[in-house]
Amino acid sequence: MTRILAIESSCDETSVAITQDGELLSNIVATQISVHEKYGGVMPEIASRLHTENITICIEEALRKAKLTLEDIDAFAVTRGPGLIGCLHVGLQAAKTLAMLYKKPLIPVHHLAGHIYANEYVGELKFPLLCVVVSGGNTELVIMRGDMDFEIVGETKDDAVGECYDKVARVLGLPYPGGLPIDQHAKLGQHTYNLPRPQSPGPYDFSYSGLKTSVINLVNQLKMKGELVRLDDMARSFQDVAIGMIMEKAMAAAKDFNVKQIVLAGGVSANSYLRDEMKKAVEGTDIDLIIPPLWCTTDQAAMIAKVAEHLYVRKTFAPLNLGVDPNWKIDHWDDFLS
Amino acid sequence: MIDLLLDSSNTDLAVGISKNGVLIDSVSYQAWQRQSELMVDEIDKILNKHEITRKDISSVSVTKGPGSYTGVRIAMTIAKTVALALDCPLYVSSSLEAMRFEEEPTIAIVNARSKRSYVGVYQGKKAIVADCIMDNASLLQYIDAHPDFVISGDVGYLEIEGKRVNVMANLANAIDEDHLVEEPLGARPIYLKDAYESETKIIVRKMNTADIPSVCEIEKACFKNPYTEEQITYELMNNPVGYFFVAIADAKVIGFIDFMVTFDSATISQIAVDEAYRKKGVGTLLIGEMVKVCKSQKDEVDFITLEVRKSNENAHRFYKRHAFEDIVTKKAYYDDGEDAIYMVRSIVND
Repeated sequence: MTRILAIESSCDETSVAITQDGELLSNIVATQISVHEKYGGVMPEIASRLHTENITICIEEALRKAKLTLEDIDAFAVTRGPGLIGCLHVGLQAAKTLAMLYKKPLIPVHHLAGHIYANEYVGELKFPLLCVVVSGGNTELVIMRGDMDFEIVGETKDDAVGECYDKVARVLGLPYPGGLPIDQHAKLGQHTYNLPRPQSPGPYDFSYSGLKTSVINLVNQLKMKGELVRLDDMARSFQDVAIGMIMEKAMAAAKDFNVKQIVLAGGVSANSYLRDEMKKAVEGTDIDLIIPPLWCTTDQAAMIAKVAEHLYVRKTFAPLNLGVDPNWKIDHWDDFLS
Repeated sequence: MIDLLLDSSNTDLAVGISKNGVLIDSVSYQAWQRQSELMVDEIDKILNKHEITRKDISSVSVTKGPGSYTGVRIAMTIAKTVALALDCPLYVSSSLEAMRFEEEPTIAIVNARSKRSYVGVYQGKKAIVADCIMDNASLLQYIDAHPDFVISGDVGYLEIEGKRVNVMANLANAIDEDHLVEEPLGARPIYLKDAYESETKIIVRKMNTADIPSVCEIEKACFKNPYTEEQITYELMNNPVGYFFVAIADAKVIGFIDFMVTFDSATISQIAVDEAYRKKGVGTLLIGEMVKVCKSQKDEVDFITLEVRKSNENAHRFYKRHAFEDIVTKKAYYDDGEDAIYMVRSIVND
């Protein structure tokens, strides 16, 4: 029997999860969203402070819910990156301290591998697969030919898609994070505003900074002319282009790499339009689709534990002088010795 | 039984073990920004060296700051995790207190950057000057005025000399009732330069729909005829010439400004600040944001205008202070028959 305790603190959620032979026993998430919402974005220093405050409470709660003690744990896993550096430090100290005290393996986990493997809670990964990683910090197309085998075939050349949603929401007077409010308003609107489709350098690459600027300019022009910004239509027009770009690039990659499966991962995979478009796109094809449940689209430690199970089998363990890497690339997931 | 001692509140990394207040062994060196990597490993080494297992540890004693923000979090997170895992007491000391000399009055100093220092002055266990932030000029004056006090810390940046104290020995001595944390799991460092928690750190940003309930509350508290939620929503989302900004402190909305820009002039519709946050410059920040918007318009905005109730003397004084001038009294301007003073401010030569 293998029991893993995993810690995630890469951004604005402090989370601790425990699994036993793949079964999730507890997954505690202390969210900071209401604090950062007021500032209109994540404030890294505040986030780091709240992690320090909450981390041990989350560990205790995760153990209590799993009805286990620390003596029962076989390995301690932690998000090593990518993420906000001050936040990553906090989770790392807690995991290393536990690994040191109990003389158990320390498992360093890549945050995005976590989002991808979260899909294992609802389905089996079938290789080769295309993973569409879309979040506030990342927009990547990743091809997996086997377990823990990642190749980034496309990525954003500027802003991440989630970041673009947040900024557009701010311009439209919608709250942070911007994904859900834009999605909701888009459902009520029509694609009536002409937003240019951004050019991107490679066949599977993305660019979102131009789209963001077009929306900001258009909204400002309308305001100067004293015209009303039709919020629902603007949200719809924006979402069509933003999600349209993901669909186009993802389906091209799926075809070119001849994948058996597409999996969605990251915060933006909660977007209902993206989910619907993906379902439509694979209909009548041989491609299998896994859409993560909503709880897997936000940051939590259950997904870190999921990756850690694979790494435990492979004995991918780190020494106690492990450091964080805020810019860790997923195809370097086993490269953590500095 | 062994007490575990930890300090990473400055550029140092220090780990020690003690028994009954007496230091057994310690390691201490400049770790710069590598405390996150090295600290747990150093703890492991020192425990192994003395063949100490987790079951031998009876308490943990740690510095809580002030100092490097990341640094204080590293030792504190480790200490809290140890306290949780071993269900043992957690003792915390100010990092300045941990720098005091036992026999002599000590000025403990840590570089706080931006020409400031964290300072605490201790005589024995008593703080003569409680931990605070001082600008370096005042600190040097204080030092000059107290030539018989010992200076503790890495004070080369002040171009003076300081002595180094054994922080680990002090932490070993701080295992007592005064330093015990009642709820170790909720323990947090102290930052002093509490930019994000203090009331003075105020952020102004565009209002969004999530702010509507908070703005309504301030409306109700501040105005005789407050806007309804529908009116605010209209102003925010649908008024093409309208602008809405909110002031945020302590992670909540504490004030807002609502104004319109029409060609060459702008008009303040409403400005309000939560009573608990008045006289802290919130209104000034809000007006400042409005002026910024006016200046960034394609068509130049020359004037800001507003109406204020004749009876609202505080508001009238506030506007005068912000360069608004009385132009005319508008008779029976408000629904209840009260007069309004019409005020104008030029921003052309601002």
